[in-house]
Amino acid sequence: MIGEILSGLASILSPGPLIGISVGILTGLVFGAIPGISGIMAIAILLPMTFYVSPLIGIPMLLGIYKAGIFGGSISAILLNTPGAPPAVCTAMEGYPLTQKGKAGKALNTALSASVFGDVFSNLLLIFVAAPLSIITLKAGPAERFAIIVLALTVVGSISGPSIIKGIICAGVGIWVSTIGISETSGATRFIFGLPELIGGISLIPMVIGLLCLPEVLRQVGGIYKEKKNSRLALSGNKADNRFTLRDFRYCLPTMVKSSFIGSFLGALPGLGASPAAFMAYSEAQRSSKKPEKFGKGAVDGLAAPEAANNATTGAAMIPMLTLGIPGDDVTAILMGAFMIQGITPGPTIFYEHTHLIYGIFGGLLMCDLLLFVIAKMGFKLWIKLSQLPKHLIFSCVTVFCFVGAYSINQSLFDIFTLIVFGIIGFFMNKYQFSAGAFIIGFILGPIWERAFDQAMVISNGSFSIFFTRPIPVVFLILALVSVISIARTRLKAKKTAAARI
Amino acid sequence: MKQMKQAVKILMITLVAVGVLSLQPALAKKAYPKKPIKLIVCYSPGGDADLTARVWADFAEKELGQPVVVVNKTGGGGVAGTTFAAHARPDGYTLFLAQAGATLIAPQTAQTTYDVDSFEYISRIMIGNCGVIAHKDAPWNTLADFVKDAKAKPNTLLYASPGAATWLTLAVQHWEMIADVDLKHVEHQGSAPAVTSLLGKHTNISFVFPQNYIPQVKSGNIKLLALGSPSDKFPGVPSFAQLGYSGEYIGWGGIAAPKGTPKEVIDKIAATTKVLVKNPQFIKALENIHATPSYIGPEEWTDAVNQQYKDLAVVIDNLGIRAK
Repeated sequence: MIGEILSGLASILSPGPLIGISVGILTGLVFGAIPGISGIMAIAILLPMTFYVSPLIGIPMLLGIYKAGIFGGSISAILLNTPGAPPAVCTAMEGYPLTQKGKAGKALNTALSASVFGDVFSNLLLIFVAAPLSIITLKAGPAERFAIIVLALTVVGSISGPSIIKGIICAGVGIWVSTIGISETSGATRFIFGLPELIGGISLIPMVIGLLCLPEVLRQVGGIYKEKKNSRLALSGNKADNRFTLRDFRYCLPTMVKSSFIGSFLGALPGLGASPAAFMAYSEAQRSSKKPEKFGKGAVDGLAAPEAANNATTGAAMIPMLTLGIPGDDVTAILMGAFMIQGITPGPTIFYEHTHLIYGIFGGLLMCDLLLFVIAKMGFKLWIKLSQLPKHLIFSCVTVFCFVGAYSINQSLFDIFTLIVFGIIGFFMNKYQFSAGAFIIGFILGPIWERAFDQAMVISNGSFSIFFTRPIPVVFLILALVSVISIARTRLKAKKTAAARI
Repeated sequence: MKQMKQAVKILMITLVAVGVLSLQPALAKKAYPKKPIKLIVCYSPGGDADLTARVWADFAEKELGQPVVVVNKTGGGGVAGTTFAAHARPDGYTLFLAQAGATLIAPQTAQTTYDVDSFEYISRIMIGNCGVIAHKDAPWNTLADFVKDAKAKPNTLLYASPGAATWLTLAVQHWEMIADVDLKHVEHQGSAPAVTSLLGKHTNISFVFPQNYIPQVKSGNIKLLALGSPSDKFPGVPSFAQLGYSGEYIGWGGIAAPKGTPKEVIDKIAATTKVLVKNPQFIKALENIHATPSYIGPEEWTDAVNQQYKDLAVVIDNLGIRAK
């Protein structure tokens, strides 16, 4: 057994798997970094390719895309303020202000270091404690999941900008919009207003691109028109401004560890995914930061937190898939398909039936981290150069990619309408300081919350006591209360200092 | 350097030329198919429908001489993709991987713009031998034990449903009617979460496709109480028919096309599929995804689909979930 584990780990060091991973990382970075096009798209496109190569090449390649894609989303979030995917929303909130100060290099390096940190952390968890962790995962029933979502929803308080009421409105509307269409659990059709196109519901990706990327394009266009000049991205000449320094590392370390825990925990729970993890880590970082007033203006710990957390979900998401044969999100579902088509069924038996392969893949996961760090770092100069191009060029390309991305998800024209409508909504939300992030949180968490609530109600015969008589839900509900109180206190303090300044 | 560039250029031109030439024979033949075929799947990549489609596409393109591209159009529990396929041009270049849920149930429980007769049912490719499962620590070893218990305490035992309007749940509803038991339905979004909740002991039984139960049964986490049809792989597990319950407890998937697709196309696809299901490599590929190859042709399959549609209508009316 030990011999097989070691030879499995070593098998990743042959040219085939290494090339596979490198190709995966490059593809993931490019797809992730282009606003509007996401890593999962690359995975779906390259999935059929894996049928023809050994699983030891194909699967690590897909993993490379997965991990690099999640990081890649931060590149455009930081440089252009256009997060192409929901997990990068908080990254843009802290990374773009840094870029505006000329510290793009620092922002990118911080994001990369935090991502790789979170990634390694969750991979080690997967390799060493997958089995016990998967048992904990199973314990999370409807009541537990309901309470976790309550906690996750409190992040609306941290990201909703100056007015908390507006943030709550946005999250509420987001939850409502998520109910449009056929409910996949109850089969009921809701809020389609006689439009058959709405039966399928609002697609997440076109909506997100519309809300997050198009308004930035419109804002930039407006800015250029007003200023009548062609402003380009400025870079600071100071070396420390372009690096993730040792001091930054020490300052961010507690945040990164905490965020990696949050990411790994939420990643291991089927059905939650990277976005809630990024949001929760950001909120927690803000709550416990030594300089909470810097948040929203380019705080390095605020940037490191969501990055560590969203990459930490990637290793952990593999835990239920490999140990139980349960895919937790869309990416792991595709990965599981890649396993099955090769004749390997993920599940409890995979560890002794395919020891060599599994440990080869584990080796591949760690290799992914190493290569992600190296390859992404090599590309930074290029990305920064690209982002210094004249803005009319950049944002024309961004617009094109937004439309291409929205269309290619389902090849549906209705998704293009979704993109345009939410682009306009997003522009006005931005203008009147309604938070698009809060809306997206509501949209993503709403259905999970509703399902958990429904299930809990069936089990408890409609009694709410199910949420208060079990230990785990109670702990999470108390944490949610603590979170609400501390957010309220931070807000009051901020208001007071603002008032004092005037 | 210059020579190098020139060499690359020549190589490129040769490649393009070879590519064009190799397309020639395909273009010369006037018969269907003359261009790539789209195969619409209304569920996301990696699921059983998607994998079935990809296996079929992979083998069929060798027989048909044209690429078959699997296109996933997801949303609304399969309704979005099915709507698209039903309204596509019936020229044989848009095919559809049909399964019971979106094709037979959704038109009755939701306001869809298609119905069962919006499709030509060309050939069934595979069946899934669905099974009733319970946690390994559950007190029941057979479905009979479970029924006894369920009758003793009506409306208390929990059924992990993969979704209220899925074929699996309607089959269970039908079984509950004829077995005279009453279960509480905890609805999940798909079979994987339903199995998860069973493994976590949040629910008592479930009814799922083979790819969801085989790995769990193999590892001993879950036991099989009954099957859609008897299986050599699980000797001793009775089928519903053997236990005296009538009805359809086997899932299926097959190739359909929009209504009005020419007969020439239907014949060609049916003939191709008929050959495929005997190909040992195809059988092996389907077994990898825990499906069983099972071919029936256009007439027979259309009858079977229509019959099942009527059977499901009875269950849907009984439950009162028909869309007005």
